[in-house]
Amino acid sequence: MNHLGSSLRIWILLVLVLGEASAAWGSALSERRANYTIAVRLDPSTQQLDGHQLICWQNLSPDTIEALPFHLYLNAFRSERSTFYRGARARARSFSPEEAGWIDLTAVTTAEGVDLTPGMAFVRPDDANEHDSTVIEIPLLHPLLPGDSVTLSMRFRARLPRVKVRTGYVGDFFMVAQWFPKIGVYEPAGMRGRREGGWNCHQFHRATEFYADFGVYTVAITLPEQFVVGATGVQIAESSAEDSLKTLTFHAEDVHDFAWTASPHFVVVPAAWRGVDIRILMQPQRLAQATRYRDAAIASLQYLDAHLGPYPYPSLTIVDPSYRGFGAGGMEYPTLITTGTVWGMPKGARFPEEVTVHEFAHQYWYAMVASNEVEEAWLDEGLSTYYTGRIMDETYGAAHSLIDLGVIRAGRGERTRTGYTQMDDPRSTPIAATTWEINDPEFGRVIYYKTATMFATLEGMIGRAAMDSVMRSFFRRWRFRHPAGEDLVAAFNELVPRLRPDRFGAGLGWFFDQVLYDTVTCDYEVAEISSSPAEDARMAERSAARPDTVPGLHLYSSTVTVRQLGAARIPTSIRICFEDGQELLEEWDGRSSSVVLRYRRGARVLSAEVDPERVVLLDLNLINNSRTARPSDIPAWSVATRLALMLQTVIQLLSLWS
Amino acid sequence: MIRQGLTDGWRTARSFWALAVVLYMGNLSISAGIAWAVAWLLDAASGSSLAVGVLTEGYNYTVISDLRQEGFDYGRTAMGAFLVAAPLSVLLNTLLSGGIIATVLRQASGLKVWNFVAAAVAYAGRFLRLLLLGLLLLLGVAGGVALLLVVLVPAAGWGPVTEKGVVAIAAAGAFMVLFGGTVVWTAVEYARLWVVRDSISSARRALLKGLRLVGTHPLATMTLQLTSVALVAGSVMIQLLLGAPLRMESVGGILAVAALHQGAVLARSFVRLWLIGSQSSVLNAVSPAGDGTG
Repeated sequence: MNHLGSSLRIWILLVLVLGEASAAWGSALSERRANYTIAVRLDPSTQQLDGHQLICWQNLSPDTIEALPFHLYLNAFRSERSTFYRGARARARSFSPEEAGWIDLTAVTTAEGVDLTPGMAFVRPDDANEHDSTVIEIPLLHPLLPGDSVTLSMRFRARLPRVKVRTGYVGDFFMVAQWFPKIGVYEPAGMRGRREGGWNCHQFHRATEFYADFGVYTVAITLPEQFVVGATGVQIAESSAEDSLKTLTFHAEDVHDFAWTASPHFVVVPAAWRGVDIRILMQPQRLAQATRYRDAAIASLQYLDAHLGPYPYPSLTIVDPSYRGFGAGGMEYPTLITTGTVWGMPKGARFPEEVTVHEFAHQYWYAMVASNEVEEAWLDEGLSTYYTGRIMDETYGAAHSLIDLGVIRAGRGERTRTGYTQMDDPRSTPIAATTWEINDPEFGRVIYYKTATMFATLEGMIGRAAMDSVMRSFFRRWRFRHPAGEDLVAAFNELVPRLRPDRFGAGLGWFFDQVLYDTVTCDYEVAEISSSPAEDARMAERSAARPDTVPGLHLYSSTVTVRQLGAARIPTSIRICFEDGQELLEEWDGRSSSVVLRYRRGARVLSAEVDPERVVLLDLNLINNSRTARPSDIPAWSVATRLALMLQTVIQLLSLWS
Repeated sequence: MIRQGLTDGWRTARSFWALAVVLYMGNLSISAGIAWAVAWLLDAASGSSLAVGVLTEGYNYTVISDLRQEGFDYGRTAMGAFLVAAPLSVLLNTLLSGGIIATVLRQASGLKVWNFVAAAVAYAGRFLRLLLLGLLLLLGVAGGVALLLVVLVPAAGWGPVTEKGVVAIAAAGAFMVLFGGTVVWTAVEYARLWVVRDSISSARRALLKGLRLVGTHPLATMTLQLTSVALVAGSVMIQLLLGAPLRMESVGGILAVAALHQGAVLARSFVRLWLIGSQSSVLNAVSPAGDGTG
């Protein structure tokens, strides 16, 4: 095959279709600093990519740029000595030759044809690991002044690893992600709290994901004609090539990444919602579950459109990974998500729905707001997890949105909370710790579950309406602009005092200081309730002639002690129930570690419950939140009997064979 | 022979109903012990909390999860209960079988407690050895099936298999193990009958005779065995269907559910007795006592 001639034809095609494609997308939504035009060829037999990209990068900062750093993520899979595997080894992952992947940048030239290749060098800004080659720096021939742009032509070859972590192949299924040289993000002074401008281009760590600038992507993919392809953006052209190959061209605007997938076995299930073209790429034997993905995606589109803002892209691709390709599942890319299920998944086990909703929620936080996932993973994962709980619970019912299998039921929202409360050490890591530096095996629970529980607690405290106002405002203000976590905190502190001056006039800094930036835990406990006849009531009984007592009236002195077993200081309420049916709702400011409530009434205290509305979901243990003076053993016997009867049936079946 | 077995089994179950009650009481005692222990643990962990009230309605994910903070782990408790109760139950049923089979085979009129106990004790050693041999044979069957599949799948060119393939292979494997296990256990049960009827002292010899019987009369032996399995499976289905709408939110509710379950357990005890009677009938037809084949 005349490769040069083939490439030329591809470039001509790209140029011709580019203008037409742009018109379909409307006006720019982002600054479009990094714009890529890529031609790539996949050889399925060797799992290799042969690529050529033009990148046009605009210096929109006030600083002069001397060099450009690029991510070469696939080099994380080159050897077990990479930073990725060193971190993974801390969690007992092992490297095998099958997993090997790499990317080689073979030539870099300027638009004028000047060769920059000799000056390239790998850099290791995070850990100085000389065996890690996931970041390469290219010195420019001339400094790039503010407002100027530079276009580089880059040739690269890559090999995909056997899929275990997001990208790779298994058999003839390919999930091609983080596959091209991707430029880092230049952050000028003031952006994300920086004191001075600089590149943000981290090495690839096991625990982190990605961060890149917005731009326009036009990608021509050449591969055998029997492959079905899904990709970021929309397909704008298709042409035949030699040797039974075809070239598919995709175009996407205002995105910061481009991923694609290919398999000859995909069955395409089309759907649509309000002008969004939905393509579901299903494995043939799971075709019956396509409607589950579709319905979950549409529910998510509707929900987030109503609560945050419109989904601005014309397409959404949902990829069902192949059997044994689950490493590629559960991941988000701009306008493309990978999900995951197994053949025969019961309808009451809503894992396919959950992963679809979660990955789609990322389209708002990862794809549009685009915070720095390497340094502040919580901002994207936590918000996506929080909204996953809301969407699942409201679509499928809070008590059983995740699992609805007869007697076994669980809601997604409550699963989020227990994901945090069941941590071995809930105080291990602050949510706002720099993600790539965390060396905690439970960091995932902190990033996903504790963060989402924090947001759910905030929602309970300030109310759903106020929460939606803040989130909508934050989303619309910061989409396509890479905010930092402190920008979200600032949004809460700015808006909540206006929305809820009755209780939060001073803002929520006190809350974030404890929950976001520190590791305090919250565990309310009703330590004691007691009642005894009051002193003067006993005197009245002994002296029946006292004229100032109502005959038969008893007075009781009651005490309720409520404690905070953690270090959190969060206000809450306490509901006291008396034997005569009266109820009181006391407010506790939570500033001390305990509070004692005393009463003199004509009835004993029957029960006390702290946080009866279950606002503070960060509470590690809801069992000790209440106490009753008249405990019943019916619940215990109910559970025990149910368990014993179930075991009896199982064991009798076994023993019939004895 | 099959029809005769069915009839004789029914006659045995009717005549020796007290033995079914004994079998049932044995199972009940173990279940009651489990229920008491679990209730005690749970009550100690959370008795004064209002939160556990929802557990009367069924499994509540949040409450069950948070109970771990109070020292009660439902999953581990259930597993622990199973690991204690299952071997106890198997042992108890094995021991009781001696007394039951002796009473049935000797056609004793009424249940004489002392004779029952004496027989259970007398045959305990041999029955336990039969139990062990049977378990070893079962392991062998399972291992053989696993080996067969591991060799067969690649040899048939089925790799890399799809999910459906994995499920199909697993289902086929499970079916083969269950069927093979049923064959083994049928042989064990006939071996027990032989031990009691012909006073065979060697458990191994009795098991070989049992295997030979199943091998030479597969239709009769397996039909009765599988009928018993079908009756048991049917009782479980009925139990689940009838129990679905019941709620354990009060003492009355708990008792209603328990009564339904215990009725089903008692019914299965009668099925057990029926099986012993029908197997005894087949044994006598194929190898009458004292004809030298024992």
